[in-house]
This record gives sequence, structure tokens and C-alpha cells, in this order.
Amino acid sequence: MSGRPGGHFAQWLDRRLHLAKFVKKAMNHVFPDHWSFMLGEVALYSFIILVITGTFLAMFYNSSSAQVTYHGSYRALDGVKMSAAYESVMHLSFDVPAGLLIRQMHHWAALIFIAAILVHLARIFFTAAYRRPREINWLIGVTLLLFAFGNGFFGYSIAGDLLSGAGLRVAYAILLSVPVVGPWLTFLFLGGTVPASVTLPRFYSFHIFLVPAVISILLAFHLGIIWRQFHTNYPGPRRTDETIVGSRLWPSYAAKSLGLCFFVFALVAMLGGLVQIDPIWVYGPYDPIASTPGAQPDWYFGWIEGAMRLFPGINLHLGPYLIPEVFFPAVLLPALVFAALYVYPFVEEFICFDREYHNVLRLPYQQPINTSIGCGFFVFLAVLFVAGGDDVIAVATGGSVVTIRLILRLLVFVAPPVAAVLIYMLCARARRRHTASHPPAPPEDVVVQEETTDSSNEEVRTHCDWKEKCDW
Amino acid sequence: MPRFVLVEERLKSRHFDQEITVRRVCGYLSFKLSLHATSVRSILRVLLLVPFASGFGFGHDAEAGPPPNGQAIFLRNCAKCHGEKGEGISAVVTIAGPNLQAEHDTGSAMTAMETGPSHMPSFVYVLSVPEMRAAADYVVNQLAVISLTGGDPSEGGTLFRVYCATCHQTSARGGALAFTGINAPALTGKSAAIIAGAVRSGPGPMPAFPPSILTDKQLNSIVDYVEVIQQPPSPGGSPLNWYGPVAEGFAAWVSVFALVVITGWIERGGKG
Repeated sequence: MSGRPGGHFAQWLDRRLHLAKFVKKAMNHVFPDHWSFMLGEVALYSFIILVITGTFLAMFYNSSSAQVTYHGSYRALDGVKMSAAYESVMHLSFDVPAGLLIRQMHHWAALIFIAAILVHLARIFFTAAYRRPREINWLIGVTLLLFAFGNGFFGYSIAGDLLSGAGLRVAYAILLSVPVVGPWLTFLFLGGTVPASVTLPRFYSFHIFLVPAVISILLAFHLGIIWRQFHTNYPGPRRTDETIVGSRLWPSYAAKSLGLCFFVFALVAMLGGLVQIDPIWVYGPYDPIASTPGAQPDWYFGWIEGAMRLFPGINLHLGPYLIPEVFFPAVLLPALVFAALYVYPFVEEFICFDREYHNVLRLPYQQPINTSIGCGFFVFLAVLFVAGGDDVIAVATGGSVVTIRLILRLLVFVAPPVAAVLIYMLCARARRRHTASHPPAPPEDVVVQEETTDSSNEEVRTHCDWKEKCDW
Repeated sequence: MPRFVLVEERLKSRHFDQEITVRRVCGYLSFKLSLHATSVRSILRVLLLVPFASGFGFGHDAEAGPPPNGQAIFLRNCAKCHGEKGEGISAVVTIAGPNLQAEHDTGSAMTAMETGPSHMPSFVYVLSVPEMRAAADYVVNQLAVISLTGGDPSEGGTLFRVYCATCHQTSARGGALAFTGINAPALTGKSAAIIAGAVRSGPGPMPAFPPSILTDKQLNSIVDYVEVIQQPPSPGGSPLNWYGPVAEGFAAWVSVFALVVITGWIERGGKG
């Protein structure tokens, strides 16, 4: 009999499910020690916050677009006609206890979720962790980003305020700009001209059922695959493509991860309580004849918004078909960006004739071409991102939006190559200095140590041989 | 006729009374400079004029004789920019004054004459206090034809989002107008009188909204709503200066960088 608390229960469970072997293996699973391996977890915990807060919000939200008259606590909208959807969000914000707090936490968690995914993606990219055998996880990760984008937009749209309506109108224009199939696409996703009576109910079921389910399933695969494949290692002593050096899941890594979880929850709760986000009562209910400057999407669509602002008004006529200007920045550009993300590992593998399994990461300066391509790409998106807020910059600085736009139009061509060349030179210099100070050592004998059952907190190494099988 | 000529004649006709000579000259200089550069004016006002202004109270300046004629003073000093009926001048030039027909407060009219808000010069060294009061009384009693009562803020909100928010933003914090490079100003800190006057006269590039478009009641509703939205409730915490999703995205990225720093802190075992 185990003297540990819960020992009886554990034995009861083990007799029925035979978990002991698996749990022992799992608790000894080795995670490498580096802060950058926890960035993806920030996104994971944000997603958990989104599910929890979203469940609360769904209890009060009504996706109907039926017209109702508001008589709630916010007096400046008293007697105003609005959609039932907007009314339910107003009720949630002003009359449900903690409703506004939970709504703001949900929105902040969404912004942080996608930002954390991007930071995680940048870490993977700049350390070349996407290489064989981890291409599948790269593909799943990019797909997760895509679905996170989509769900962010659905959530932004269903509040029924003026900004939501403006966003829907832009989405309508973007879908409509797709040659040939545009009208069918708008009918499929939006139910026709926005805001159709089916638009919000459709978005709502996408937002709370379909997309979260897809994200959850992909997330399970994402984590399952990284569990099976083990993490990568940063270059260092005794780290090879066949070994992994780090600390065990229990107790060391679990404690770190749980601590991070608390930090993410605390930060989101703090933002939700102290910093106002999306004040829909100021924007007012959606009214087709009203509009407002300073109408931005949430930040993750800022680059598409900026591309639309910078792109010149060029309509392309191809025979009987018209390709309107919106198509290029808002459909073609995102399609190319995601296509580039999807194929990047395979292109690199093809160009470099690299068929090896990689477990040791490359540091950014060790792969100057990758790093400079990534930085140029990042600067390009950053310029577009700034352009998405050019009117806010003009108002805040008192400048002219025409001048700002002109400067950004120049920068979008000039800045990315300059940044890429600059970064390449810096990387090349760092690599030269490194080789000068570290002459190549003779290859040392790698002693592969089988993992032990000792669950102490000391550094351990695990054998993980890709060429054979990876047993858990 | 340029404005400063009027002042010059005034100064000559007073024979440079001993008691007020210094102040008149300084005032004349500041007034003339004010026509050229706002910055020069403000620097001079601080460096040169404030000591004089504080040394000589207005009370000494009370002159005997008939009460000043408010209409004459208004026509000589104010009508050039504000129009003869106080209807305002709407033009894309620097000398353009807002409509004064909703000004029902003598005190705020006198304050404007003393302090010279925005592009307007200060009249402290040009008009005596009784003269200012006479001009203000004339504005309030004879020119203020727009009544500012009986508005409904929630109706005004709907109208504001349709007529005003298109340029001034739903939060009334101003907006940049594409293709023109002009920024619609923020409406914060603007009095009800200024807002009502601006709606009616349409200063600068702003269109005018005469009673045929917005009735007096609708105008008052809009003015009431603007007073709400100048200080809108922010039950959710800091409104981030009402910059909207741009500021929210910025805050989200600051938070994510904070979390990145925290992962490093956790990895070091909570040290350093």
C-alpha cells in the first residue's frame, strides 16, 4: 500500500485502466530547458481562457438581428432601435454582474492568443525547428493560425456595433472581389448582402462550434505530435540529433508550465479589469448609413487593412471579367503569405537537398539566408501593419494622412530589402566571429544514456532515435 | 482694411494717456504680431506682457463717460472674423471665426476675448473691461438666436453617428480624412455654443447644416450627445485615450512581450 495521499485512488484507477506504465513514462518525458519552448504554451493557455470566458458569454449572447428598442442602464442609448445581438451585448456589458469583465477578458485573450501564436511561429522559423521530421507540426501550426484569424473575425463581427458592421462590409467587399465565384462566396459565408438576417447566426455558430472544434482537434494533434517527436534542442554540449537534454515533465516542467499558466490568466484578468477594450456603447449600434474614421480591425488583420490602404486603385479587366483593386491586397496577398508559410519547409528541403532528421536547432546567425528572408518578410508585414493605422497616427500626431501614406508606400518597397541585407550582414559577421573564437573541435563520442526512472529535477537526457521507432 | 489699422487709429485718438501708455504699446505690438505667428504671440505674452498685465489691474482702466456701444465694438473688432450677425465665416483660411449665435453666456464670451483661444488674438490690450462686457452683452442679447434647450441625447447619438461621426469619429476624438490630408478636429473641450455654431455655419471644410437639414431640436439633441461623448463612461477601465483597436493591439503586444519576459524569468528559476 502506498503511503502517499491519493495512493488508494491511484491503485483503484490502475487496476481498471492500467495507467501506471503510461503515467510513469509520461512523468519522465523530457523537455528541454529554454524559455522559448514555452511561447506556444502562452497561446495554449490563452485558448483555454477563450473557451472558459466564451462559455460564459454564450449564456447571454443573442445572435438575432431583429430590431429591438434599448432600455438598459446606459442612458445615452435609451430608446434607440438596435439589433437584438447588439442589445444582448449591451445588456451583458452593463447589466450582467462581471459581464463586462468577462467580455473584456475574452477579447484581450483573443488578441494575446494570436500574438502568442505569431511569436511562437517566429521562434520556430528563426531556429529552423520546422525541418524534418517536424514538417507536419509546422503545417498544423499554420492552419491553427489561419483558423484563429477566422475565429477572431467572427467574434469581432457578432457584437453588432458600428465597427462590427464596418468590418462585415469590408469582408463583403473582399469576398465579392474574388473573380467569378465572388457572389457565390458572399452568399455562402454571409448570406448575401450584409448584414443579412442570417449573417450573425451563421457567424455565431462558426464562432462557438465549428472553428473552436477544429482548433481543439488540431491543437490535440499539434501537442500529440510534439509529444511523440520530442522537442528540439538548442545547440550545446551533448546535444545531437539523436539525444535530448532537459528536465522531466514531473515535477520540473509541470511546475514551470503551471506557473506560466497562472501568469497568463493573471495578465488577461488584469487587462480585462483595468484596460477597456471595444467600448461598443461609444461606437453605437450598426446603422448602414453611419460610418466612422478610426475604424480598425483587431490588430491581426491590420496588415490586410494596411495593404488595402496602400494599394493603388487599379482595376484589371480580363476579357469579360473584372478583377477589382480589393482583390490584390485583400485576397491575393494573404493567400500568397499563407502559401509561402505552408511550403517553406519543403522548399528549403528541396533547395538544400536536405533529407536528414534534425533535432538540434540552428541559431539565427547560423542560417543567415533564412534569417534575412524572415526579417525582410516581417518588416514588409510591419509596414503594412502601420499603414493599417495611418489615420490614427495622423490624428495623434496632427500630421496629414496623405503624407503618411506616401511615406509608407515608399517604405513598403524599400524597407524589406534593406532590412534583409542588413540582417544578412549582421548574421554573417556573427558567424565569422563565432568561428574565429570557436575553432571546430574534433567530434566527441556521444554516450547515449537510456532514460532512468529517477524522477528527480536534475538534467536528464533521453534517447530518441528517429531512424528506429519512437516508443512512449 | 486690415485689422491692425483699426487699432492704430484707436491708439492715436486716445493721445497716449500717461497711465496706460505702456500697456497700450505692448498690446499693440502683441496684437500686430499675433496676426503673423501664433507661436510668437504666445511667447511674447508669457515673457513680456504678463508682468505688465499683472501690474496694472483692469480696475484702474474704468473710464468715465457714456456706456460703451456693444454693437459698434462688435462690428469694429469681431465682425471681421465672426460675421456681422455673428454667423461665423466659413472659409479654408486662417482668419475664420466660428458662429456665435449659440453663445448664451456673457462670461465665456468675455473669457474668449481675454484669452484668445485657438487662432483668435487676445483683446486685453485693445478693449477695456466695460467694452468687452458691452460686446459680450451684444452677442448674448442680440445675436444669439440659436436656443440650446430641449435636446434628447439618445436621439442626438443616432444623428451624431450619421452626420458627425463620419469625420469626427464616434468617440468625437477627431479623424483623418482620406485623400485630403485634413484632420477633422476632436470635439473634446468644445463648448455647446461652439458646437451648435459650427453645425449651423460649417467652419472651414466642414459642410453647414442649416435648419432645413437639422431642426433646432435635432441640433440640441446632437449638442447634448456631444456633451455625453466628450466624457463617455469607461466602465471597462482605461479607455486608452479612445484610440480604438490600434491602441488595443499595441497593448496586446506589450502584454505578450511581458509574457515572453516572464517565460525567461520562469526558466531562470524565478531569479533575476
